[in-house]
This record gives sequence, structure tokens and C-alpha cells, in this order.
Amino acid sequence: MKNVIVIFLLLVSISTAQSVSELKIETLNNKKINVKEHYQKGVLLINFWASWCQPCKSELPHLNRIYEKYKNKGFSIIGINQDSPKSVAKVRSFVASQNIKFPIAIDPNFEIFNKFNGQVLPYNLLIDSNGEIVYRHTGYVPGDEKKLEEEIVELLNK
Amino acid sequence: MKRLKILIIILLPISFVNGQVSYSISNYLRYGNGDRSFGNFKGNFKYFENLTDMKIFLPYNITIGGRLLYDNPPEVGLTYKGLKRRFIEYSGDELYIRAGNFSELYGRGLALNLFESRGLGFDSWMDGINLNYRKENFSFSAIAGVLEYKDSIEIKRNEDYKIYGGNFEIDPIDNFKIGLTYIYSEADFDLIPVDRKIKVNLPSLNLSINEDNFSFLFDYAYKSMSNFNDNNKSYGYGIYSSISYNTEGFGVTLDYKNYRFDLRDPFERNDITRTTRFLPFQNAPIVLKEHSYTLLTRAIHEVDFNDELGLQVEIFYTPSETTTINFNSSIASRHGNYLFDQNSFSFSRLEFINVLPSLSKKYSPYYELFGEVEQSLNEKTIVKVAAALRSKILSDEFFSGTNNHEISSIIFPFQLKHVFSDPYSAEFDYQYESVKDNFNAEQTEYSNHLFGLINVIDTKINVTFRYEFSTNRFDVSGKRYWSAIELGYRLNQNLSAAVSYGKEKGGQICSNGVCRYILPFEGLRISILGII
Repeated sequence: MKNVIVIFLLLVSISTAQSVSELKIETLNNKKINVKEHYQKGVLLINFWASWCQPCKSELPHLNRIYEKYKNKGFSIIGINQDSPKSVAKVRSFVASQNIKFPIAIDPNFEIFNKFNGQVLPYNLLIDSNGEIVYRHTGYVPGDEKKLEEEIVELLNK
Repeated sequence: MKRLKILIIILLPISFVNGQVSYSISNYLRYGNGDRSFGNFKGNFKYFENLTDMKIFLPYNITIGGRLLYDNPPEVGLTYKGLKRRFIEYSGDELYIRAGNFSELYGRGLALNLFESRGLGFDSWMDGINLNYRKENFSFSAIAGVLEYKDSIEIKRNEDYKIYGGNFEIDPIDNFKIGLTYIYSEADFDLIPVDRKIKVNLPSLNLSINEDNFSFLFDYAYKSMSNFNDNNKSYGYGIYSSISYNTEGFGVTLDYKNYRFDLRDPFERNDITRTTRFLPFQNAPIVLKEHSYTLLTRAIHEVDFNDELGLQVEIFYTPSETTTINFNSSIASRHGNYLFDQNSFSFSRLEFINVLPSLSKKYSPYYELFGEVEQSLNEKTIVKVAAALRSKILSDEFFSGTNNHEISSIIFPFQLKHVFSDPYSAEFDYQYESVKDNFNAEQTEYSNHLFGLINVIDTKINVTFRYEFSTNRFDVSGKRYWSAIELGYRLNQNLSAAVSYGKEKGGQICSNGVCRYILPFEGLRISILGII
């Protein structure tokens, strides 16, 4: 156990923040997305959400609005749904009804969520044009969307 | 461990020079000190959980990671102290290989769905090798390894599985995919007085069509099991299918289940040590709605994956920018009913249904109707009103249905959210439930009332009050009133904490911007989450 901790600390001490350069995702519409193509345009937000998560559902309309506002300025969003096989069949219907404009992928065995050490939903990762995660945010309460928008604008203006 | 060290020693200097090493760590600490009570039994209960997930991203698309776990004891599940997970993986454009602990899902999980739910104390991650190869129009996956399954509730279930399997999926034409899965497993059931050894073959087929507005999925798995000890054999299968039509502002999904992996009479059905049942590495869709209202997350229907038929329809409709409507209806039942012969003390099957669930009491039916309307009154105020009707009947097959357990309830949740002045907002919840339960001692009708108030003072601080009372004099907790206060605080984007104190009846609760399922508890709880 001690060996594991020592090796881990050693690695962390020479490390930089997590980057997402090689991540490839398949969307609900069977389109394959390379996240690199999205963050290289400017700024990318990866939003993990689930249909049973009330705060996630409250946040989605705000993300949709932010996406529409900045999508022509180099901003992208990829939504990654975390419904398990228990309820993943309904995700398409939910997404269609909400008129969500940004691409949505499903991650029913939490493979991508685990990759980013996600623990609770909603979980947001803001990625700069170098592919580095510059902002992580868990949970949603009213007002969070304003803070997030400020971060996006700041990154877009860099 | 030695091999891991060697690999790191080789990779470290290269990475250091190039500055290509990155990392991610999350730490989730949960502590509770208080009481848990069941009827007249009340006992002190302390839990302490600390979960650290860490990943190091090395050059050449190699990741190493692990989980340090200190569950001593956890709120749910078994005590564990040490390195719970460790892995090394390569993730390239087309090839993915992972050695160590992994989860995996084939199709919709009828043959294989390895996952973890800490809230349920369930963990079916394997230890071994997982390989995936993907090209433009096909993919192949193979797994080999072991699963040591320990049930946190049924402590007799201590089972070791060796699992080998693979999945091949191909898109022969646009928007159409066909997949084949094969799983072979040998298992050792550590039972008293004798161990039982079994082997299982689980082939599975899945098809899917995804057009712009239309999607269809079909999943079939066949299970054959034989016992090494006495060469007894058992066969069963499961079908899951879903179809949906979606257009802008509207979506409808119909799904269907026919799970008959192990049809048994009531005697055998209640034997939790039987080796023939649905196995822990299989986890199929439940075909029921997953709710977010607290009262609707309690007393849910327990799906029997060995013997259940069911249908569900879900509609989402957004008629205008300010209104959202959701409707869900589900029905489930067993396949057959049985007659008990008091002379031979055995059951014989009377009738059998093959395709659609039945509402007849003899098939232990369950149904639910749910509707919800969300209306934005203006830019600052949102109202949500819902109604649910539920009925569950557990057929008493020992006395030919004369002593059925019948439970029905009507639930009305109401929610009002208002932003007063940026950044102060508040959310008020009221949920009412009227219950009829013919097994509830001398009081067959009662009601539950839940009040919640979430005050978001700014995006960093929020306070939640919950108060609940029940007119049920025979609640299993022995209580009639519950109240709790919770304070959530976000120190920065990487660190948040919550402290709560009071009596909780349990269920899914949402506070501090996240939702989680909690168990009945009375006392102090602390949770701290950090992610970097």
C-alpha cells in the first residue's frame, strides 16, 4: 500500500492537469466525435447528466442557451448522458423534447465518467483550446450558469 | 506490483522530459454518527468512508489508475480497507486494452453488465483483461478474468466467478447494427454445508436501428447452467426491446421485458442460495421509471429478473418554451401462478402467460401511472406539479390467493422555485402520499407528508430543511416525525462540503445541487468532495 502511495505522489509531483486530447465519443445520432476537433476551435464544455437527476435537468436549458449564444465564437458543448441500461432507452425522447441543440452521447457503463473521476451529477468540465481541463464543477444550483458563462467568456477572450 | 514499478521507471524519465504526464484525483469522504432504528430495535451506528480515485495519464495513451478505499464501515455494504481497484490501460484510435479492474456492458446487459453502485452496496467489476478493437463499421471486445461477488445484504452469497467472453458488433448498412455476445463462466458458490460449482453458457444477440426520428432495439440472451456436483441443468432466457419516435419537442418510448431466466415455484424462488438464478454479472433494464421525487423513490417495485414480464411507455412533450409535460406508465407481472398441495407440501404450476404482463392478482401484478407538468410562470419562477398512482399485489400462493399482500398509493409532488434577486433563490417542495396496505398491522390506510425548503444564499452556500410526518402508527422505523437541516458549502470549484443533522426517513434527496439516495438515519452526517 505504501509503495502505491509513494509512486502515485511521485507521478503527481511531476504532472500537469488532466488533458482530454485523445477522447472519442459516439453521439445518439451515431456520429463519431473527436473532442480534439471541438476544443481546438476555442472552448469545450463536457456536461455529464442523467434523466433521473433533477439538478441536471434544471441546468440543461441554461446550457442550451449558452451554447446558442456562443457557438459561433468557438464554443462547443458535448453532453454525456449517464443513464444506466435501466433507463437509457428514453434518453433520445427526452433530448428531442427539450430541443437540445448540442450533441449528446450516452455512457451507460460510466466509462467516460470514470475516466474523469466523476463522483456526482451534474459534472462539468471546461476545456481550453490546448485540451486542458481548466474548470471542474459538480452539482447545479441557480446562479451556477452565470459563473459558468463568465468562465467561458474569459476563455474565449484569451 | 514489480512490473508496474518497472513500467513507471521506464516511462517516467521520458515523460518528465516531454512534460507529458497528467493526472486526475478525486476524494470523497463521508462520515456519519448517530442511530439507526428498525421497529423497537435502535442502535448507535457510525460510518466512515473515504474513497480516493486516482489516474495518471502517461505518454503513448497509457493510463494507470487505482482506488484507495477506506470503508470502515461504509453506510451501505461491507467493510474494506486498502487498494480496491488498480489498472493499466492503453487507449488508442482503434485498440483499447486494460489489465486490472474493469467494468463492461454488452448490449443492454442481459448477458453482461458489470457495474458498481455504492448506494446499493453492489459491485460486479471484474479483475482481468479487457480488450476492445474498433473500426469504422465493426467492433470486437473480449474479456477474461474473475469476479469475486459478495452480497452486502444476503451474506450467505459469497460467489467466485471465472468469466470469459466476447462481443462482436457490425453495422452492415447505415443506421443498422447487429451484435453477438458469448459469455462462459465457471462459478464456485461458497455455501454451507457444501460448496456448489456451476458452469454457465450465455449467448446473446442484439439488433438496433437508429434513424433520425426513429429508433429500435432488440436484445435476447439465452442462459444454460449445469451443476458440476450433480449434473443438474437449468435453462432460461430474457428479451428486452425498445422502440421510440422523437421529433422536435416530442418524444415517445415504449419498452418491453420478458425475463424468464429461472422460473421457480415460491419455495425455490425464496431460496437465495440457489445457483440457477440470474447472475450478478447480468443486469438488465428494469423497464420502470427512475424517479427523482423522494416519496416516489421509496417502496419501489423489486424487479425479479428470473421471472417477470413488463411494458413501459414514456412521453416527453414540450408544447411551448415555458411548458414541459412528462407522462409514464408501466406494468409488470410474473409469468405464472402456482397451487400449493398441503398434503405433498409442494407446488404445481396452474396457468402461464408468455408474452404480455397481466393485471390479474394471481400473477403478482404491479402498475404505475405518472404525470408531471413543469411550467415557467416568468423568468424567475417555475412550478412543477405531478401525480402518481401505484399498485402492487404480492400473490399468496400458499393459500390460493386468499391472503394477498396489496399495497396501493397515490402521490402528489409539488415544487416551486423562485429566484428572488441574484444570486439568492429558494425552492419549496411538498409531497403527499396516501397509502393503502392491507398488511400494515391494524392500520391499513395512512398518509405521508414531506416538506422541503432549499435556500441558495449564493452559489457557494445553501441551506436545506426537510420535515416529514406520517400518520402510520406502525412505521418500520418506529417514528412518526422526521426533520433535518443540511448546510452545503463550496469552498472553490474543486472542493465542496455538506453537513446535515437530524432524522432522515431515507429515499432520494436533492440538496447542495446534487441528488443521492440515503438510508434512514438519525444524527450527524458530513461529506466532503474534492476533485482535481
